Amino acid sequence: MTWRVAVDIGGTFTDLVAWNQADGSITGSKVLTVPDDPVVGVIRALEHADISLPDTAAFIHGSTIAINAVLQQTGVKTALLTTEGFRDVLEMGRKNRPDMYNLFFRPRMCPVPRTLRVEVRERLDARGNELHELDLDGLRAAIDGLPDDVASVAISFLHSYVDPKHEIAAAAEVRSRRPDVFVSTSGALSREIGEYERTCTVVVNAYVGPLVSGYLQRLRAHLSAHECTAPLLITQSNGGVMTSSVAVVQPIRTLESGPAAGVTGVARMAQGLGTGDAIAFDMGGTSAKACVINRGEPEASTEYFIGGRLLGLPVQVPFLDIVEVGAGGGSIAYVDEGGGLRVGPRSAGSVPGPASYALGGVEPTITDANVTLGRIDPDYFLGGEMRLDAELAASALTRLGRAFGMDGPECALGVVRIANTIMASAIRSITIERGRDPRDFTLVAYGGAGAVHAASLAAELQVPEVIVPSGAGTFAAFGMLVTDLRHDVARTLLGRLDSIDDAELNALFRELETEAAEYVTHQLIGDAISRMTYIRKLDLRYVGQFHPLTLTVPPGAGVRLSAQLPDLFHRAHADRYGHNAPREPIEVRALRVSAISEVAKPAPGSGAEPAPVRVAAQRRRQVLMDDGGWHDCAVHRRPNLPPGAVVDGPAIIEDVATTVLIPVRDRAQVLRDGHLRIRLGEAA
Amino acid sequence: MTTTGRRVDAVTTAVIRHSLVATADEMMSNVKRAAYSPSIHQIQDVCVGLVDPTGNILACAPGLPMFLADMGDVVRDGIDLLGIDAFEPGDVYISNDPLSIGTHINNVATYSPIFSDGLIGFAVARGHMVDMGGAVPGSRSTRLTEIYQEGLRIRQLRFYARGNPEVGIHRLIADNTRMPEEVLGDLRAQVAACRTGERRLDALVQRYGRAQFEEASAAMFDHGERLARAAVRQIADGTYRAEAFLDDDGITLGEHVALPVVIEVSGDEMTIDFSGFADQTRGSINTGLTGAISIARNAFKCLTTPHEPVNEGHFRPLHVVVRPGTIVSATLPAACGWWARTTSTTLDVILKALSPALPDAIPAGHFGDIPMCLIQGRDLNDRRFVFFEPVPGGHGGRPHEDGVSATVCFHEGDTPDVPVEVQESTIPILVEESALDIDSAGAGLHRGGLGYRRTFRLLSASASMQINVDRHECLPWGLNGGLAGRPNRAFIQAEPGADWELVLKRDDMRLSSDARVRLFGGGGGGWGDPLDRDPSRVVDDLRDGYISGEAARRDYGVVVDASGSAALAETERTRADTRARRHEEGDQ
Repeated sequence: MTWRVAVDIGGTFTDLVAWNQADGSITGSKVLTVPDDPVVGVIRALEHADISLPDTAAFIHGSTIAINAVLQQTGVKTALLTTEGFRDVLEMGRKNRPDMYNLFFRPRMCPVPRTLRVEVRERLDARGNELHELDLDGLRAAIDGLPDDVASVAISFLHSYVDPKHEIAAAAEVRSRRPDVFVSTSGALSREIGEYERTCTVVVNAYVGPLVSGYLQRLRAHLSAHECTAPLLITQSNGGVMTSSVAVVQPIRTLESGPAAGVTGVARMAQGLGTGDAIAFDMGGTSAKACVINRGEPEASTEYFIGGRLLGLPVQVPFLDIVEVGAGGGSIAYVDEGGGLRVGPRSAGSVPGPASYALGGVEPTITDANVTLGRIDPDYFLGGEMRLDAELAASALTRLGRAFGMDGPECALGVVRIANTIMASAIRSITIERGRDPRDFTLVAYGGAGAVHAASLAAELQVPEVIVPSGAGTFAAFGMLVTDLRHDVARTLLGRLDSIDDAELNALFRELETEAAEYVTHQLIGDAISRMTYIRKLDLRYVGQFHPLTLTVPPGAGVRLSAQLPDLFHRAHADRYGHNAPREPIEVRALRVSAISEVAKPAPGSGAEPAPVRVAAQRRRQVLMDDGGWHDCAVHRRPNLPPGAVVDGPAIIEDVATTVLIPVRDRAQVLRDGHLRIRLGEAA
Repeated sequence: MTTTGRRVDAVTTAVIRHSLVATADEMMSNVKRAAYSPSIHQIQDVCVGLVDPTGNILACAPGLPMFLADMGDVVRDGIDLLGIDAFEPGDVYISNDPLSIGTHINNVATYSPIFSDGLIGFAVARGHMVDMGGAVPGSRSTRLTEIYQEGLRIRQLRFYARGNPEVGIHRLIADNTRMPEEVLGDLRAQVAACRTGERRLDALVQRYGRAQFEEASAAMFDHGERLARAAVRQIADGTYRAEAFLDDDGITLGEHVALPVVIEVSGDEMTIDFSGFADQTRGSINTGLTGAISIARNAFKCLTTPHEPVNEGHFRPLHVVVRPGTIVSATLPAACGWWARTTSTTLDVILKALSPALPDAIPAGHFGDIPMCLIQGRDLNDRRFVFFEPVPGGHGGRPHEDGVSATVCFHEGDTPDVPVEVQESTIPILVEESALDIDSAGAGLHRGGLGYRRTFRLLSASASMQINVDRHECLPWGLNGGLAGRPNRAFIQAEPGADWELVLKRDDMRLSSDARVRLFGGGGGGWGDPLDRDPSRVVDDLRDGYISGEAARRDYGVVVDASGSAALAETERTRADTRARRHEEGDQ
């Protein structure tokens, strides 16, 4: 069993990265995604990379099937059973108007129409006492009344986060009367308070369930037919993988698997390089994403909206806290009605694309700006597979610049500066805004457009160091290779910290650990499981506050936990918000547990710096740098740079799928494993 | 329009503008997450932002749109009263006087001067404190008639001196509120947000230099102004009028409170005239002059630059005319607790007035109020609580689509409800239903959004309740032939099986745990003639249970056959009859 194979299906490309466990080598391939049957794309990627399926130890996979079904509203016909009096919760949401000055604001999406939302008589109170037993006769009538073409049934009852017994009983009824449908209960996915968010969670799960399980069955069948007996592991939005048998019942956990895997890859790499805290920065064609890695652990999100904050659905399953802004290579720069210069979030996409694609696009994009600045070589885009038209880029920017009395290059520099500001604001929102100093971080840049902006962005944020990983173009797939098996569970628990019994708290933690571990090991063959580790977390707040802070319980703190927590919490509160109230009582809102089982993975790279090697530039060209001056820049091809190679800015390093800008006074060096490190202000 | 001669600024201005907006957002997320009161962390009854040394808004984070004039007025009032030289680095001032800075006593502003090579601006946070003392828990009641009864009135006192808390004013507040931990906790969160604003603005000014920063903020205002003027130019010159009314002031029941507006559009300028507004009332639906400006600004923002982050420039083409002593320009001793009564309806009236000029841009009327039920007592942890949340309702049908159902009124913005599960786990309440209200939407080519209904019981005899619901008599109007929606209303059933009693405004009710309260947020008005609505869409609404069969027939003239589809021939006949009847009635 030689290969561990990771395949990431994106909107445009299907990326494969495989690790040969025998000799430690890594290989990969990139093919076009086949939207109608993604399995075909996977097969092509395997053929391209020449992977022997019978010789595969693990097949790790992430796809956009679930997220696309939600965003394009192409999930299955889904029914929802709710507590009597509450069937409209899903449609009404939280009744707020985030787009508050827009007279034509839109409601959030609602995947289940009112006719398919059916009320059932039952009721628990907030402590889990039964106020009204589950009305089985009414329930049966409701199930029998569902149309035949309903493919999925979601069940969400009030206060099921305290006790899901009514949901479980109702699910059993649905399964026995309608064995043909996918059934999902809210309490099985989330044990957290908040009926709207929990209902959205179960509805989304049911809405995509049959699609995901159908797809995974087809993939599994293909792999089996080719004598692949390796476990099929699916990447989750929390930066872990799970077995496909869990993915088919909880597909909602896979929604943002690609971005999460990229972040996990950064965490692994940062660990190897000894950089500790890192900012994962991924800039593609339509947007830029960023996530903070704190002491080796990517940050988890406290609230997540599938489909965006304005119209999307909030869900209660763990996601990494990835911020996204509409600044990508294809983002359009334009003059607004007030005569201001704007960049994004509107994107030219791939059709018509940036002006320089010569596919009919006339509005200048960030990519056009980079071409006009001399930063991207129009003849070496995607390693020369695609030629860009520099003239079209320049004239688009010249036209835009006229409104501001700027020439084309000046305008291009302005566009890049504004894009950098937008991205820097997003990164500040997850660093400085949370009490973290960007100067303590390394920026790790990947995605097609990341590396050309990374060093300027780092300067803007005062981040001292940038890493551009090798294989930056297929980095999410690489991340999948190094992602551990993981399952996160949470339980709402309301009570004052000083009145909670440590033994009780520990018992509850152990219960959650057992539950999480069962998911991790579900149907995995014994030897695939390594030692299980657990992370315990508590959501704490001052009595009277609403939003909690999540604290990781220090390992070994078990016995006298409640005595240690107050100090930790007061300190965390001061770090996060700049103030605290040490005399005020603290309460617990929720317990969280992660069960993690390590997988075999490539050794993390080494941060040791090889002896410097001087290299001669292959070519030179004029580049307009951030200081506003044209510089005669050395241009290197990355594949030709040996480990240890030192390149001082101003310079350009061109890779197959990305271009790295080394600004004036910065120094880049190729590390032993091929990653590129840029240190700001360190050029000779 | 041209920016030649300021060519660096197009980029620098954009960079600084983004940084200011990001700072306001950061202040907002801090105050929201660290706050104690549901009014702030859940309902987001708070605004934060940065203003320049003369009170012009540099950036303001979305919370409640009705704070649009407050931030500047808070600071300007401080400068007038104290003098610009009074401010020192590290100071924080506190103020809540509604007659000088708008809204009501609960909304307490904290602000701090920012120095960066001299005074460069102020960081401001203003949030709803759950109780500021006075005659009733929660500091507002339909019964109160003077501001002195409503609680502790603070005008421009120093809350922190050079970074150190002024112990005396802290103690004064703690001693005069029923809920000192919550109030001081919320104020702590506000001050921390101001500190964040100070640090960020200072860093920005240090980076670009004072001169460049000032030039860029001036350019940002100019740019905002140009956007707003361009939008006003789209409105034909003229004088536009409309009016609506509130049921009463809560004291003199049955006497309507008139809200007529006159709007003058001339070139790229708009004047909103509230001169005809009712004199300030004995009941507490008043607010100071800032109230008038806030409402006008909110409406103007919606009409001109809805997608832009707020700055002062957006409001330069707007003029507000109001005489002293009206309900939106009140003077002592007006009570202001329920000031928010007027805001949503006024905004809607402004829209209605302009609908002939902007036929494609104006929705029909919405439910226009914050129907509210304020509950106070001891929570399940035996702590004192005051609970309230705005009841949502239907928004008006639109020129191109149906209105949105069960959403907060114009006064409220990004203000989510408190989940039923959270309510029931913290206060003695049992919610029996939370649902769309069938047949509440005004019929139309594009119908209104559906209203809302909620039924609950109070489980503790020690809890008391205040119901305050308006816009019961002035229906959410239709536009362009659309029908009106159902109005807001509330009922109490003393015991199971008893009659439901209509209760619109009543304070200090104590109910048995058998009693049921039912609140309705009204439906949105319809847009366009309901007889023109596609019969299949009427049938869809019928199937979804948004409307009854009776309404389908009566309002839309749609006849449904045995299979549940529209009987087209009969529908055509019914519609033709109705049109003919209307024609005749029109002739008479």
